[in-house]
Amino acid sequence: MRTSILAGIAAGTLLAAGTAAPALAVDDGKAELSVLHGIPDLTVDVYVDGALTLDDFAPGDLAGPLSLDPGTYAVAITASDAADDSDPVLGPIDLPLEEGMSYTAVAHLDEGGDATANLFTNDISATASGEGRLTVRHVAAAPAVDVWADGSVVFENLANPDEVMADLPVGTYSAAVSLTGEEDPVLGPTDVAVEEATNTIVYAWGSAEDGSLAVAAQTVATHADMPGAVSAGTQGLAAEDGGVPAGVIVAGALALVAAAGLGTRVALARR
Amino acid sequence: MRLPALALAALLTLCLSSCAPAGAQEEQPRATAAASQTPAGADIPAISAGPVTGPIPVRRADAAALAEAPRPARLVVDRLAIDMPVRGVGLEPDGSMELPESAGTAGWFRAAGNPGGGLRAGRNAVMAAHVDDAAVGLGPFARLREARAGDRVRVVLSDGGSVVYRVDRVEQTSKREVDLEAVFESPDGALVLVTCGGPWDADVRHYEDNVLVWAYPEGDSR
Repeated sequence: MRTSILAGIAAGTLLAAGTAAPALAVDDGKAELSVLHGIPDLTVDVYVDGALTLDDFAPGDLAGPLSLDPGTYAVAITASDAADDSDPVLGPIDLPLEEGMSYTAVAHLDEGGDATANLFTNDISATASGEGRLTVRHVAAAPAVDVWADGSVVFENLANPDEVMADLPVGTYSAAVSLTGEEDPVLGPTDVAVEEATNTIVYAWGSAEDGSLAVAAQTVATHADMPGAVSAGTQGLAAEDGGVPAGVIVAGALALVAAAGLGTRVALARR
Repeated sequence: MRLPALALAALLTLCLSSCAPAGAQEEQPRATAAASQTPAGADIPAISAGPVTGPIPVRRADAAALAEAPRPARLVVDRLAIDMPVRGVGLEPDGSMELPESAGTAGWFRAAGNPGGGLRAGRNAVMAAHVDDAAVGLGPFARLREARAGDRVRVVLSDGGSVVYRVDRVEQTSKREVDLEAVFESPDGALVLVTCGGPWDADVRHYEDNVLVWAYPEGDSR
């Protein structure tokens, strides 16, 4: 699973995928996992380490986020009428989950239309103040695509099963997907809200051949820097102190400054 | 000339030391409000003793997830005659909370909780405003320290809905001691209104204290 981060995006700051120390976004000592079902026309059961965990999981459904102990989990996907996980349609695949990280496991079609699965790592490093993160993942049986935002191509030639991402100023963007080099959207345009300290992850899934291309989306909280101070006054008009009127304190402070100045001058004069 | 100045200095020092521990935090464990605010969709119970226990939220991952949650637009506290616009804010370059320039507008910290829901529903929401400014003089938040337990606080959202809170307590704490982590990062579903108060330090043009009003969703028993 490659991560393509393309140069030339106009609106935002491209990011190097990094992770800050977990504070807010993932529970202490845990890993966070969501599961997206992106295989059309196939309702499934999901087994984790042999135990039925999601029953009748439908295409386009998103489960989680689950807060799990770090470790490797074996996930198998069966037809929804299976009695156990002995005859999976997919898997079992190993999902290695590290502490403090956020993941989305996606069952989807590869470019040729065969069922496959991928474990994506969701970037939850802190965004700059005033920015949010947009991630786009191609998990559809379709050729490479261009991703458009507000009428311009922002990510070029995104292929299954790659992802692209950028941090953008918070706001709502009109997003669309076309086949690479083409203008007509095969998906969208649709409004995508980019919110502060949030990774909005958009998936193109389904099958172009079967006319089942669709958009799926999830939002993941990123870490966020919290204020070190709230300095909420500029004039001193609200000053109060154990019953002493505000004006006295202000005058007192002024007198103190004046006195200090005077003292200096007196000392100088004496010299 | 020197004597009165010294006396005032002593007075200031006395007040500082006596004011500092004013807002001692009461530790009161409370149930998180998050559970009641999970996104719409049926929870599918985990069936066996696998590694995943408890209900698993499942929802349609369709375009509805791309819509923005409503955000705070106005803050209303009738008893204190507060009715002011709210706008989203982030951080200043120095790491302090960004605030609207006018004391007549409150800033809602976007990366903490949102009373309107969304990803951080159930986390503390924080709004702050200057207690005063050069244009309007004392702002509405100057009246926050008169807030009393039970006062009704209404947050009007951008979609026209509103969320009602009740004041639980007012704290005044030295800025050097105020626990901003508890304010901004707790999953208690509180609405915390923040401004400044206490003595004015004219040298640095800052107040010495933060005034904090803690309110909780109406009907949320504590």
